[in-house]
Amino acid sequence: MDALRVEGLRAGYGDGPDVLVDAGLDVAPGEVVALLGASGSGKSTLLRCVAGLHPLRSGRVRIGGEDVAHVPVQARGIGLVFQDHALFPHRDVAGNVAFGPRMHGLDATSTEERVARALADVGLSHLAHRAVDELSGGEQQRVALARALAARPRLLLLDEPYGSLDRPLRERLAGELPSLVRGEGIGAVLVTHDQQEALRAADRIGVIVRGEVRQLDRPDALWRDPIDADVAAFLGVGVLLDVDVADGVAHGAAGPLPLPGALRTAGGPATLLLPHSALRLHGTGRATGGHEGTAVLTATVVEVRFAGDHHRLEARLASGDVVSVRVDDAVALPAPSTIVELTVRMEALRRYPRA
Amino acid sequence: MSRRGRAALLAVGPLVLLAVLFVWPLTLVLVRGLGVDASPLAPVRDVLLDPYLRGVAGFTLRQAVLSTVLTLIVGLPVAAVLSRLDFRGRRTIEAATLVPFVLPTVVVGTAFVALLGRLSPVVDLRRTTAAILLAHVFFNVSVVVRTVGGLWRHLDDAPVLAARTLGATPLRAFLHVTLPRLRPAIAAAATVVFLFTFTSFGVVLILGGPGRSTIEVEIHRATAQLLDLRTAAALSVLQLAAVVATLVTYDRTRRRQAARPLARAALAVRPLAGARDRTAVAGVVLLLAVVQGLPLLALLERSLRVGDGWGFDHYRTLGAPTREAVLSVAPALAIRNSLTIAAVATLIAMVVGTLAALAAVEDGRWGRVMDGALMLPLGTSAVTLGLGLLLAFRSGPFAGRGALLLVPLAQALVAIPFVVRTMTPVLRGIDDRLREAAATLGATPRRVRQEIDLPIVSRAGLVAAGFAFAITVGEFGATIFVARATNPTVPVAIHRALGLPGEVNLGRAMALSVLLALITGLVVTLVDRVRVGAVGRF
Repeated sequence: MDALRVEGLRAGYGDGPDVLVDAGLDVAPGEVVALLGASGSGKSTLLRCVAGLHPLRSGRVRIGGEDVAHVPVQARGIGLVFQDHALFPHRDVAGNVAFGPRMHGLDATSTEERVARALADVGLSHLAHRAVDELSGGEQQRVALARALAARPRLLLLDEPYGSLDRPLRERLAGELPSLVRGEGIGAVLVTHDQQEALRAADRIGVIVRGEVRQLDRPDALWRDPIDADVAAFLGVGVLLDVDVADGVAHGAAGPLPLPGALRTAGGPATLLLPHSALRLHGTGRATGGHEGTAVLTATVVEVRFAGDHHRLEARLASGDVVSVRVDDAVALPAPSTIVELTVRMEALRRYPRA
Repeated sequence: MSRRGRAALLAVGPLVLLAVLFVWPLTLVLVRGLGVDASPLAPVRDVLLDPYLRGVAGFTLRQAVLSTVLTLIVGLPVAAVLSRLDFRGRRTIEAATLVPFVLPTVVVGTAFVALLGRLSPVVDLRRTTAAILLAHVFFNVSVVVRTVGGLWRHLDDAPVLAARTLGATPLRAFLHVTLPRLRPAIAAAATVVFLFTFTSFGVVLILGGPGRSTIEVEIHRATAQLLDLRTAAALSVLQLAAVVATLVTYDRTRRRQAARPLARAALAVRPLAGARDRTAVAGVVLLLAVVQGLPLLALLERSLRVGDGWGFDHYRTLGAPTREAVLSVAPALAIRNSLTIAAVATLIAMVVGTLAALAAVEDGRWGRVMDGALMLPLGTSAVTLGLGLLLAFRSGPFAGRGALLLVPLAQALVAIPFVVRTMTPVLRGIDDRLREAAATLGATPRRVRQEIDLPIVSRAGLVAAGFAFAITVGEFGATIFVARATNPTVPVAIHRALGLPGEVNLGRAMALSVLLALITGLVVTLVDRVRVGAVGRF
């Protein structure tokens, strides 16, 4: 049974237009699903709808198989972690964590046990009796997580929980999330705009664009096969070229590209995704010009940067788009302003209808 | 009813009170002082032509400038150490520097009588400018520590390090990099200290003497001893003009300051490293012990000194009336008076302040009007306020200085702004996400009100009431004008006992001061305990 299933969700504010348009989502027990989207894309609203903090215009939300349309927020069995934590300022750390067990009517002894376990799970046992405003941002985040988990929710919702933290801490906390969620056997939805965070934490990632979950998939599949140009653009997979297809060849400002069989379906205007990962510097590595399934584009070198274990070449295509090409061979790096040839692995191209 | 309508309705009470207790009395002071009915400005001209009063004005300015400079000299090193270095006991010391600031001015004056007066264990500095300056430093160091230290703690170290790598010595780096960045806080602290010391009343009344009178003290003398209300009013006008001029100048300079980038606190504070840091900490602790600790110790010691030994005699006899005085009242009665009056004043301040805060919550524009209007009494000196109340209520429904409600009403006026400032943010909005968080954790709407709204609002109320009580129980400047002679409050009784001869009276003044200090300290400590997050911080 799904930990969460959302179907055909529509919601908005006041008399305004729909912020969520036919949004759908499913989460399995023990799974972390990240919802990625630009700010204003509706991802936080989706979370609030699931929590019962925002009314639906239509659609259905099932938590653990149960339709929660008429279940008030306090009875939904969810743990919600807020962006700036929303810790209760008038209670200390243990008092915050004990809140859920107390509301569920647990006696003092069981409450204490739950608090102790939840604090141990997030590594904060030593801070139980501190005032929450004395904690660092990372500690506050852990308290918020412990507070949500101590209530034994069926579903954990996290709304940009690491937004106020610096990058290393953010990635470490995101990396700790999957094991906590698996340990509890519950599902979790992590709303974020940060791809690194989503990649760290999530089993599957949903991309939300203009109020719609366009694609929900494993990260590798998502990056390999973006379902539309919006998703591809949001993920930054590559450059999008406006082309006209005629006789199996895409004609655009970047130069002609013969399309592989699968993309030749029909002629006419199209948007072509040219993934950065599909490009190699001509004459280097495996891909050399003229091979089966490759094509060649010319580009002007903008700069060459060392990126840790390889170099990246930034080059401007004839269309003006700048592509980023991985260069494994550091021997023959081209100088800026020189013109180079790039081989394109054709099977990696994706074709979308022109917007 | 519209929100604005409701806000207006809520604001009626506070504004009527303000009009009756502040605007009208102040108008009477201005009319008298400016001599509108006779030849315009004649009273002020007479004051300015009087060599004695010109001397008073000169002394007021001189002592205020000297006090401000001395307070900065003492306060800046303390601020530096407390805000830049982390060491055990730092928070305790920081809290201790605040103690003198919450003490009633009469207690401060008495503490310095104990330290520097007759039978002083240190040196007899009675009736000297030095005593006044030292008391002012004692009182105001915390202003510098809080204001300048608050900014200093958040200053990023990088520019100083940059200057050092460019060849600046530590001193030059401080003078050319750190000091300019601290300037806004130093200017703010200096302005506040200058205003406090320029309008200093209790301290100067007790520690000053002939030739060492401030405008504030002279207003009181003209009213209470010479019955010259015309001169008193003219002095009030001059004082008011000086205060307004100071504030306008400060505001002008402040506007020219650009905002500067700040680092987070954790970056700036570092643990002690090396002998220099330890010496700095030791030096500051010693400085504070002498400047702030010694007077309080002397007060305690003098309150316990009986003949050549020590005992609780002065405390025990607080129940008996003073034999030597004509209008003798038992100090114990003053304590009862003070507590009752402060409780009533607190109640009034809470009701009026909460109404004003509710109006502010209903409508932002009314909020700004209320906030500005209710802050006005704070900007006016307490003595001017007292004089105005005296002028306004000599006859009419509140006839007679003893009118029962006038004292608590006058005190409430001073406490209301603090209540408004504490209650408004809490009433405006408990962060909705706290309620949502409670709901997701299983709280029903009723439990949410019980567990979130009620505790937070009631704690803010406790904080506001505590502050109001601490302010009113020690209020002296306005009270001394309106309190009935046979029904004094503790500060008034202390002042009176200090003026009487004999060791018994002095001992009683000391004992009363210790008690008043304890009451104030206790209330402020309790307030600090129940404070929630940023609620109630000024």
